[in-house]
Amino acid sequence: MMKNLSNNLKELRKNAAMTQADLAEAIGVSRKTINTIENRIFVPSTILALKLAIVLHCSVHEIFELESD
Amino acid sequence: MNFALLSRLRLASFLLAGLTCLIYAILALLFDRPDPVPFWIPGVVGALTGLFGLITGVFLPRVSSVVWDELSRNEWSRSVQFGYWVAVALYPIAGAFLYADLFAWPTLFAAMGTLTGAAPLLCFAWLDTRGA
Repeated sequence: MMKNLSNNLKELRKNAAMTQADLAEAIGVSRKTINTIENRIFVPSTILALKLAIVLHCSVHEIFELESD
Repeated sequence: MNFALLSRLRLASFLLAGLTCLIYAILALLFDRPDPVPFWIPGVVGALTGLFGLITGVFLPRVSSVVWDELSRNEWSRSVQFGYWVAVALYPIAGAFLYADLFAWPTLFAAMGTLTGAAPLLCFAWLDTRGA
């Protein structure tokens, strides 16, 4: 059963008072990568998801979640 | 050189090389000859694009690693897959053209080669402009 992946990255980033550029620089990717993740165009790897969680001081589950049916 | 500039230069170089190959193929088919313009132009433009990537990778490793981050590598992988299927599809298409005697085989050979080169470059350029 396929479920869509949603994310709360934008909210968590804003809560951390970071811009897309700040977050991108903190984890060593482009701002576009952050933008495409927030807009659900790109699904990042586990490594990138963990880096995001570390920088945002939360768990990966708080950033990403499977949408319920 | 910052990330944004290098990213734009990469996009421009890929567009230039891809469009050069595409235009060469179109001209070859239009004039039914394998060398509608000097034959070395697509090769030289492609080589310069590769050289640009190599030089920036060697001399600007930190900026280059951000430009070629996970998203870009993913997009390039998808572009190469697209290019592979374009190359495969070109064989039956060229065969049909040959069978119908629409073009000479040297013309089709030149068009197939340059289209095969253009496909991943232009696909990457298109993917790279999303979400920018």
